Amino acid sequence: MIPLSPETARVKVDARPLGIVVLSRSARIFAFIAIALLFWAIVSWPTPKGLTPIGQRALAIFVVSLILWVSQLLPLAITSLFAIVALPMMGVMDKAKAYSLFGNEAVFFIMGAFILAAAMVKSGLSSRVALFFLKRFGGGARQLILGLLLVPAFMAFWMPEHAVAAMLFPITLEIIHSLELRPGQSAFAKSVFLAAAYGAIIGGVATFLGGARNPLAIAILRQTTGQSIGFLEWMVAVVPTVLILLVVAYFLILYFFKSEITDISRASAVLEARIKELGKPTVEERMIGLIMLIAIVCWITIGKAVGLANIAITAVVLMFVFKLVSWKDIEDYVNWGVILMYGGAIALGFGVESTNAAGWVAKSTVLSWSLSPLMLITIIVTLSIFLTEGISNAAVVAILLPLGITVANSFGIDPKVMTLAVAVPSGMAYMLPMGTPANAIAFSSGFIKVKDMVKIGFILNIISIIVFMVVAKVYWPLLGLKF
Amino acid sequence: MINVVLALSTFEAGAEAIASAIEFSRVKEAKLFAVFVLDSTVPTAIFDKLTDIGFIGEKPGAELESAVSAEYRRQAAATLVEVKQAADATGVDCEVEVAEGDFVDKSLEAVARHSADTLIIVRTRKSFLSRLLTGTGMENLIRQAPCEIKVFEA
Repeated sequence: MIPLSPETARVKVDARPLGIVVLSRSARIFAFIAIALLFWAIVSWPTPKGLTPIGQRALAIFVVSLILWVSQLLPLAITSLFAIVALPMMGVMDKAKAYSLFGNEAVFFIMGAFILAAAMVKSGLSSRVALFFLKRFGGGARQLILGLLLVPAFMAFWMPEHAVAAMLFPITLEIIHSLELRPGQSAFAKSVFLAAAYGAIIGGVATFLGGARNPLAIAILRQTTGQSIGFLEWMVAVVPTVLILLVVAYFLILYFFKSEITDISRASAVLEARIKELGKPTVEERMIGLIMLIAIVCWITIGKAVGLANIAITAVVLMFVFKLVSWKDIEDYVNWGVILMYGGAIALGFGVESTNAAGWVAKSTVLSWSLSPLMLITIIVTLSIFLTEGISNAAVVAILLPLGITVANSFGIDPKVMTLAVAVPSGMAYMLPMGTPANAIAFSSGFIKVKDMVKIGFILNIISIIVFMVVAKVYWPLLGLKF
Repeated sequence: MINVVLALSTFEAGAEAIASAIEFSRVKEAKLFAVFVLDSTVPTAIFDKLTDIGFIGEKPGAELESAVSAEYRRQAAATLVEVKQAADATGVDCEVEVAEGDFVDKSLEAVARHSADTLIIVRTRKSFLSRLLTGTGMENLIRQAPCEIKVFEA
């Protein structure tokens, strides 16, 4: 036994075998060298029949971006920057065109939506709305779980799901504290955190505001086909799936985590106290609420004619005209990396489609299999839903949608159907903490174990696939979306 | 009298294992030092990823991190009160403390500070996925501990 003084305790001793230590410390370098070699191999390989040399280079950039997005060896935004620089450097597209895609309408819509959400959070309006609705579900333990599922779901219709999850987290913690629940001992605590996370996730697929992947998907659809899906059109197509999944999630949570408590009066008292603490709505809150309401009405009614981004940015400008927020607030609340991520993803999608690289991949793989459109959509939906458990949902859209749209064209499937089949399931990550921010936030509470999430999340994934497919096959034809 | 350090953290604690540690101290007539490490590794990793994949802004990120830290402190305080009460009830001389930082480093520091003869750790049975997410600190601690080490499965 070696006595350890406080001084020696600060020295970290890596007791693993030398080979393992060297390998683990240089793994990152080896990974980048392997990726560079793969890039070189794809570019210098004899161009296959049906693929142009430019398409081959676009494909090489796509494969490298795919690996970097999946492995997260680099931050997502930096991988997108790599794509936008590599596309003109490899002659896939003109540099003016590549950089102009950062100015895509979807990028500005996403930016506007993030700024509007930041204003709602900063002003306290989002917390007030959440508390106002939550206190109506204070009748019992089951009712509270229902409220914790429905309130974030409804709020994620109108602001990014991660912002909803982050805003609700302190409220859920207060509920847990008031009921004196302990990690590892309370099933009710698990259901509280999971309900809030799943509510935000399920609600986040309903509109363009819940997740930036949705406008990203529309941008890729527009860049590659010239077609688009309107704000209301999206909602009408997706909301039935959302409603069914909320019901399913509610019963699954109740089934898996049987509540050990019935009396939640102390939690209701906490909610009441929080509402009292907030006092009456301020002028800023009312004004922000009004501007948000007008923006939503405009997106629904005149969004297609005026442009979603124009409405979002006009709403943002109005908030500054009325001095409802400061630029400092916005800078603190918005992560500008989002613009780089989405701009790069749109450029890459356009690059692989315009050079027919996506078409070649589709012909060499999916198109050579004898699949029915129903089978194809089922495969795409399943792929999206399980891929999104491991990688960012925006990355799933950026990787799958350009190929999906090309395949859809060959199968005679409406590209709008393919867009929905990739974008909606890519938002449904229930299984792993790192699948989506809402799950990560719930996991960070220390009340939920990974196995809790995996068990219920896997079942919810399978049910989501079934519900999505049934709605798509039975209900969508009524909207003119056929496959 | 021999000294025993019981190292706990948010992701590595369990009532049965704590009870076993207290019983071990009672049998050995040891003084028990219960250290709850507020392990920043897991939340830091989570919030770094959130910034990267969820594009959460600086302020909401900081607010979330502070909410999580406060929650971990509350959990630490509640666990240590339970340990102290259980130790007192069985007549084990027990001191409790909270440390902040890396679980391995802080546990080793506590071992050195209290000249511990035995380090007791609680290991939650985890799947491969869980170990991937919450790290392999426990294995590092077992390798580096300069004293006898007892591992109780939670």
